[in-house]
Amino acid sequence: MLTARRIAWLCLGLAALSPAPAAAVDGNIGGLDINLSGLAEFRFVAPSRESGHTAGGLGKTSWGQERGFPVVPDFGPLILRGSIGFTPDLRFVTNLRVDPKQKTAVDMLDAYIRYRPVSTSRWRWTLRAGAFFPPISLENTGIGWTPEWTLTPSAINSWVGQELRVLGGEATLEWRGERDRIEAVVAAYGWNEPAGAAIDGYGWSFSQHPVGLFGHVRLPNVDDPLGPRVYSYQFRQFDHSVGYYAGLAWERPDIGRVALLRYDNQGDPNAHDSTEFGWRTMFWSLALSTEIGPVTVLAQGMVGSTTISTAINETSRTDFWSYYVLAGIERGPWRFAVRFDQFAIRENVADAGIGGDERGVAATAAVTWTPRKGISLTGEVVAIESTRSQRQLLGRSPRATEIQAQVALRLWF
Amino acid sequence: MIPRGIRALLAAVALFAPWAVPAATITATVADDQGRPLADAVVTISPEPGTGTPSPDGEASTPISVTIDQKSEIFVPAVVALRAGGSAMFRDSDNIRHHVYSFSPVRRFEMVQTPGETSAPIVFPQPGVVAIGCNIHDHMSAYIFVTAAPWSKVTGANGQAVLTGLPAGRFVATVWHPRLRPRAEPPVQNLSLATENSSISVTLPVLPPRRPRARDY
Repeated sequence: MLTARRIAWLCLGLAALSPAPAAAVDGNIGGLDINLSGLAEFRFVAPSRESGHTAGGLGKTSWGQERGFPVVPDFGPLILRGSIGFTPDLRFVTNLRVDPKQKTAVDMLDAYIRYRPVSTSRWRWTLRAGAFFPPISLENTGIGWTPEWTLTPSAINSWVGQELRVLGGEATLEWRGERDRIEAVVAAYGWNEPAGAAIDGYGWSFSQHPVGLFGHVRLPNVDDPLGPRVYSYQFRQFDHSVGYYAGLAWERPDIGRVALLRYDNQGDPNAHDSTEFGWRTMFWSLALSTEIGPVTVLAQGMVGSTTISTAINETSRTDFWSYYVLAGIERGPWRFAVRFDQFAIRENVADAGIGGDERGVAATAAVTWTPRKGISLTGEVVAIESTRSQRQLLGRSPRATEIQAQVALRLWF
Repeated sequence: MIPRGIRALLAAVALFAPWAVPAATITATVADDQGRPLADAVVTISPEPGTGTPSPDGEASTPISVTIDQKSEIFVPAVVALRAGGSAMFRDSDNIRHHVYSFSPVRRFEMVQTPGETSAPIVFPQPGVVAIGCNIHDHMSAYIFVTAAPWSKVTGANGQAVLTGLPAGRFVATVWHPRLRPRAEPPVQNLSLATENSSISVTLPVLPPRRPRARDY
């Protein structure tokens, strides 16, 4: 039987065998503008010694000791990006993702309609409706929400990829001055009640695997390590509340960009369906980007909380914060980047058991060589030191040092 | 304070003797503040008012009509100089539509272009900078530098622009670039010209190229 996972491997195999890099396809068919492009990744990874969070462990990296080899080859994701322009103002955009490591090997990362009428005044507005990433990340500007400077996104944007997706509508208003540019964005959405389960379940992580719209986040098997796999089913609606985010951004070419965003899914902690509970998740995000001489600097901080009801009139609140600073420089076909992350979680739980308190730091260094358009080779090392009390439930030290190294070939087509 | 490049320019032109030749050539070399050749800088030269230097008719090198193409979602060329009162046409060489527009006060317009289409000429009566974009593909940008100067050229990848057909006389030279730092004034300087071939060098403080943001189209 041709399962989705087999289809995923087949797609990746065909991508590997195809003459690369091929060009993106543009065309106007029957009055519709069609654009197809994509990305395929192939890598060798030296995993960390911890069991990765994608395998139900409490490791912070995407690849862990679960395969038992010092170096493992891996394929994916394969991203297929399509957009259809119905009119010059109205477009449909989607990113399909093929990734055998995920429970839904073939899935969609986003799918939305964008409406943006042209404006010859300083004001311009845009509407988006459907399923899309909230405008939080400075790093993930590539096709299929891949990060531009590194292979592994920061802790903040790894979490955004794991748990946040807007299923609703967004309105953006821009003011475009001679030098300054100001953007105001507001959105209303649903289907995000389980957001919070992963950051509470295994804490911050460094993941290259954003969850698809029909995907599930694997949670650690700490209560029953030999038991069945535990998943959090994301993007569900059962409390009928409407979440929102609202943000402001200011940009000036000689200074940079500053963006502040408030997110609140307005989830009902007492609500649940047959598999998931509601999490009330809210946070502030502040992002800065600037150029200092030839160096690009990105910095972002996030502070928030997620709350779940553990019993009648009793809730458990998990506070979380993280920040990162990334510095990158380009020299011809070479691109160098270093990033420092710090993160922490504090669980305010009623019972006195071992909670999910966590703190840690991470350093990432990446070098990318782009010999020609459409192909690049990136070497990256991520080193993470973290303390998570939950590891004691597995009889391990709460403190862990993880190092993950990888070399990845990226082909854009 | 006179920028370093303009000081060099003045020193160069000061060497020239006062005898004139009918048609001189100036090779302008523009570099960024790191000393790297700067492409897409607009060098203009116009007669200095009140000096009797003739403003030529028919020999002006500033184009009175330009065509900007759109290939692989890039405006080609990205920067053009255009004589005030001149016109620009836009061509769509892609297989998809583009929605060309400008909200610059100098000239506001918008038009949808279908594959293979070349627009009617759009007249730009006033001098100034007109920023052009595509409302579908936000990463596309181009600039029309509308000027009254009879001589102007855009530097190539080597940072050079060659301006020809200049008579002897006194002139005003300016250099502009789309990434000129906002607080930096474009160099403007008077110069005398009385030789057949000469060269000038200008250094411009510019911002780094704008990094792309996530595509939402």
